[in-house]
Amino acid sequence: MILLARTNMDAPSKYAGLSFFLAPMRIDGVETVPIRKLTGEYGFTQTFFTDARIPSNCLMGEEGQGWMIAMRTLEYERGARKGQAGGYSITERDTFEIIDLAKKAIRNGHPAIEDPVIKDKLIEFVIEAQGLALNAQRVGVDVLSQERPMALPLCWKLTHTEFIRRVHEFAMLLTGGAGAYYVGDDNAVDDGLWTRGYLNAFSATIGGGTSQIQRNIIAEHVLGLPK
Amino acid sequence: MDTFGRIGFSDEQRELQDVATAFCREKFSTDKSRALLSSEIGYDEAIWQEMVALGWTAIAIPERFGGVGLSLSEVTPVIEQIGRNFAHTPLHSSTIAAHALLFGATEEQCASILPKIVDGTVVSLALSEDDGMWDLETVSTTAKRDGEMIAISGVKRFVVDAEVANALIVSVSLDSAPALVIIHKSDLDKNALSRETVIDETKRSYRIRFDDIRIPSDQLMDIDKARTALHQIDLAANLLSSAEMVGGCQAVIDYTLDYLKTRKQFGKLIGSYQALKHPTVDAFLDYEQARSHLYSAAHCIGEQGVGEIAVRMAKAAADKAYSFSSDRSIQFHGGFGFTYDCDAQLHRRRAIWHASQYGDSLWQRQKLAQLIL
Repeated sequence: MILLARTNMDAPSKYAGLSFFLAPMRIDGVETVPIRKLTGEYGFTQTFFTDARIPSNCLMGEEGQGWMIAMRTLEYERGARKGQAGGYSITERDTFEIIDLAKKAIRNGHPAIEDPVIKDKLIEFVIEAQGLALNAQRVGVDVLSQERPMALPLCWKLTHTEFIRRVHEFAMLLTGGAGAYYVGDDNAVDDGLWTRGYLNAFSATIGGGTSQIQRNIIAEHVLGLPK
Repeated sequence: MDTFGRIGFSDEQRELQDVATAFCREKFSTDKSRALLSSEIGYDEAIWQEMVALGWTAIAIPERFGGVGLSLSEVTPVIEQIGRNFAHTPLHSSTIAAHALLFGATEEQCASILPKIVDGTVVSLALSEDDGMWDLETVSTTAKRDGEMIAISGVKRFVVDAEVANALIVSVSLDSAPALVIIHKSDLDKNALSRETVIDETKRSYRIRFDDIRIPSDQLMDIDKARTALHQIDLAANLLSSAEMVGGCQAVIDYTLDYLKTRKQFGKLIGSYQALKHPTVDAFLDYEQARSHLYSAAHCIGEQGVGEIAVRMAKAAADKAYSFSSDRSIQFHGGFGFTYDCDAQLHRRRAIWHASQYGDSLWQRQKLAQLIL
């Protein structure tokens, strides 16, 4: 596990007193209590340390650099693609999967795609998926992002995670009455993965800095708005 | 997602972007555009001549007709900068008209008109009718052969720059099929034009009545290319509208940001309140996507199939982004936002104008549904 621990109580700032360790978990004094996720699955734990001993070579970097290393790690998490449960990016395949779902899912007795309102919403999602893919391409064209060069990279996490959450929510809507089935029931459309995906999507809209914090970051660091 | 288009940016696009950014910033502004609102033609003739001298009217016209031989891709960054500085110029109409001629006119017609467009002669289009059809192939205005002449009857609306235009490209129904004719200013009856009151006051829009006017049949464009030309007009017009909207969207977001960074309420800069901060970020995210769509459309417009998808996505995204950002700009300027003096309304009005022309975002999505699903 990555362990961020306070190693100097008298450091000049609360940040300077932290150190970053890569520590073993199966040792005396470390006790874990599983945390159940909203999906019903496990994956996190609450971890208690009671006088646990780890080798000193578990320290990464220098003592007191913990905050800096942790921030660097978090930066990676914020920008990571497919780096965590739920994933951050939407691919062309994902978009076509949604279109296929709209064609096969039965909503109120008819294929969902026959409903003109559904069709319109579906196209809105396709346009947005394409827009996000094009944003990624535009980062590579410096003259098309020169005025605010950090804009697209800093917006990435917010736009992708929120999009994935909304697209899964839409997928559930496509399945209509069958939307009540969940993972484990034979009648669930696509094994209930869209519904679980929707619940799991919050891992990315909350983890690595919530979408609300992301908006503050973009507002302050890209648009120059006051804190 | 190559299926729906991709970004590309040529050296020529880059050069034109640089020149247009500097030129438009120097020559245009919302204040200058406000000063022109009461003028007859709606733009500064001297600046227009400078634009002609810079070669902007020649960009998308082949060299054999006196042009530079590039394409709409290279006009896009120029129109974006015009939109960003909130100007109106005839470059918009003339570029679409030239595109229509290239795809739908005879070689002789191209040779006679395109070099004049290069030299700054304004040519516009008369397509829209009172039934509100965005499908350009549905035309009520009739053309009837009468010996060597063609008789035109009907009413067109939203004909931009008609007063200054030397010629118009007019859609008609000939033998129950759509066709295009070139009508010169001199062909029109004296009272054929009436100015329309439209939402974007920088635009000069006219209603034109064709009351059984006679034109020589050599002003009929190639009948076999009519549908292709109408389709190309649709794409070109929506691409250029998207460019103007994306430029305007950037401007109205910057305008809002200026206010949020200077206006204080309850002892704090209002830009520090998340209720204003977060929707402004959302407007900015929409803008970034709209700009990406724009440069995909500009790059792919010439490709069969993909071009239409990319252009319709660009228009839908631009409409959404410009409408939302200008709507929120009015709101975030508070009491000042409700006044005519606040520039937010100029942008909101322009977004409404562009939504109404050649199909709003809902229409574009309906067309996309037919193309994709």
